[in-house]
Amino acid sequence: MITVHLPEPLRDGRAAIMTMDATSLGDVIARLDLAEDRDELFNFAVNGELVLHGEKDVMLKNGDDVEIVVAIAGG
Amino acid sequence: MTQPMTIDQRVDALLTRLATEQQFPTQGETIFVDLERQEVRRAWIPLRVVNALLGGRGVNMFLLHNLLDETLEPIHPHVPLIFGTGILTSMVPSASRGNVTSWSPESRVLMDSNAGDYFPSFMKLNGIDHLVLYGKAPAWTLLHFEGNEPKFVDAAPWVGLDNLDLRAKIAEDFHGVEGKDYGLAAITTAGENLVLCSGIMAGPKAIYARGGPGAKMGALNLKAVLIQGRHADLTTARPHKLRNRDVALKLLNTSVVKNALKKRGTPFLYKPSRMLGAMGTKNNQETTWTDKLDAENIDPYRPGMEGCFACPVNCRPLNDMSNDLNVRPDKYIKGDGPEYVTLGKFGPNVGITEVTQVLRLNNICNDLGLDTASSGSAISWAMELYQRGIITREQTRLDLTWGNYDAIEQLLFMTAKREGFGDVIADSSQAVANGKYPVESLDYLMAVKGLTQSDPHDARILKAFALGLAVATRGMDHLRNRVTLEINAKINDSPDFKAELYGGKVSAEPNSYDGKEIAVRRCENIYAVGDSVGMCRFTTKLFNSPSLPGYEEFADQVANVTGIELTKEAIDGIGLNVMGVERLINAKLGVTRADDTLPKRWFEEAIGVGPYKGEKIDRGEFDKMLSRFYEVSNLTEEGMPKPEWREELETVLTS
Repeated sequence: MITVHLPEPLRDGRAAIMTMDATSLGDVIARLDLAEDRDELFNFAVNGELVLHGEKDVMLKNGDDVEIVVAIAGG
Repeated sequence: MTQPMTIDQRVDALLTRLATEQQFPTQGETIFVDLERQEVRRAWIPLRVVNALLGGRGVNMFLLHNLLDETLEPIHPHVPLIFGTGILTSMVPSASRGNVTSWSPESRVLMDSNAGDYFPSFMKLNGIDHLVLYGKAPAWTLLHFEGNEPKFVDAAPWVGLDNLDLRAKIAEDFHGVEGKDYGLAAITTAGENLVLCSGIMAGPKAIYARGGPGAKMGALNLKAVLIQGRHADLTTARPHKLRNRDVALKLLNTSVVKNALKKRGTPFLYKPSRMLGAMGTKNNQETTWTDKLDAENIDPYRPGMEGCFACPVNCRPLNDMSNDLNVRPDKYIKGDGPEYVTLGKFGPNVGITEVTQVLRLNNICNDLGLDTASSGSAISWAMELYQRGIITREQTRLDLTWGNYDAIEQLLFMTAKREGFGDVIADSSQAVANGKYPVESLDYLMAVKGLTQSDPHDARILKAFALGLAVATRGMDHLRNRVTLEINAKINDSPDFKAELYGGKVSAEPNSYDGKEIAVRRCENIYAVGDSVGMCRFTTKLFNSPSLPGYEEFADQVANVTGIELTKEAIDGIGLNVMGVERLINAKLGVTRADDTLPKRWFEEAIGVGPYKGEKIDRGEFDKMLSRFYEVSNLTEEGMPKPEWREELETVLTS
């Protein structure tokens, strides 16, 4: 099982923290139906480390913690 | 030997080449104010210059190029301080910005800074497109415009006041409300004392910051410029309000605006930066820091959001710590901000871990008129020198151990007054040149072209960001060209979309050098155009989102407002022209290819944590990327406009 933290804009009635079986971030994206809905504002972090590219191929293992964080530019 | 022309001769010569009547609907005057003689002259920027450089930052560069005497010192009053307002400022949603331009006393290269709030809009609302200020006033002066007529007012009642008290007293003395009745650009005591990391305050927080604009204005004995009323005829060439509605809807429907900027403002970026292992910490010796400073931990102290003139976004978080009994209940218990830059510079970069301490330092800097990027960087540089024993307590009289909040707070007040060790911080990156630090200190200065880094994000991982910081014309600053979307996996994993966005193939891997020059070129162009029309960087396409207003909206509204038709290619070319002129100015100031580089630390020390542990900048790869950048930018191997283009630019500048 992995834990997924969803930010408020992506919850769409779902809980803030969910658990699920998934072997890759690609699985998580598919299960949460985020391929289209998630825009450029959101990035994944796995076990506290930000994923910057190749996200669908990032492999997950039991106990991993996945968080979707907001990433913008600053000022 | 021929003597350089004086500023009077330069202004005389320039006036013969400017227009004597308005060139297009809504155009404002360019007003030249000799503060020493209290003389005012007026002209209009000719269409050929507008077609090449638009307005705002672009036209400021035209003016500086013509008026700069590089044989003087940058602080000399005959080096003009130029305010400019964008060609669309105050007339399009989120276009509330303007630039101030000169030769920087802090970096000693081009000084150019952008601010919002209300001052640039009140310039435009009163028919002033550019304000060229020079000469040292015989006594401290407040320049008071009602419409476009200036009065030279004795500033004695306001000298010695910092931002909070100054703005309150001006409101009382001139019977009005800032933002509604007038716009104000003013310096604090730091500017009066020629502090090189001081800015010009354009509002309670908005600041013309980078490069020491506060010191430049102080050198003119000019305390404030107040523009009162709304007197200009801003009848547009064609109806523009319907298109404005499209722009506003586009802004408000963009995810970054809806979900981040309107809710919490820019402190959001702290968390992804620290998770990436790219949060500049302890003068970039480390690159990650506590989660206690994540944006959600600021939520309890944020009573609401504020915004600039007629901007629907309202991205500026306010702060109020009144309910926290651990915070000293004085005038700094509430304020405006912080932005991500301030959070980074006065959090991890100086070793602070408490939100309330960062908020308080933010509020103090706003009051003292200190650029948080420059002053925070100057303090973290001093702290590293102290850590290494290069400077000692004997010199500082303060314990500059990382995270010593009390010392940092005290040092800010000492900096504004140039008291004790504050006099060293006040010299910012010039502390070595001014004999206050030994030369070896330069090894630890996180600066490019004499300007310390603005964004606290450590760019050893993101190579496009690194290139941008190296080539930015004003020095190490993210707001000139940051390829922000390089941090986003969804875009990186969509090669066709990414290529379309940047106009060429850019590697999906953020730490690769391949194609990054293309992305930096595209960003530098559109941001320069944004500054020339007056659009906020946060709401310009590519900075925070690919969905925000860009060339299409800018071109449509320039046509509607002014009647000037520009194709997408032409407007992109204007962005390139602005960079080209800036490079011509920097060349006069001695800048060469060797200055388009990065701090030594980023070439020699690797990132120690996170998914990109071991990453640094490879000198050979960087040099090749720089050459490719010059090529796609129509620059020579020395970083100057190629001969044919240079001739075109010089024709615009001097004919």
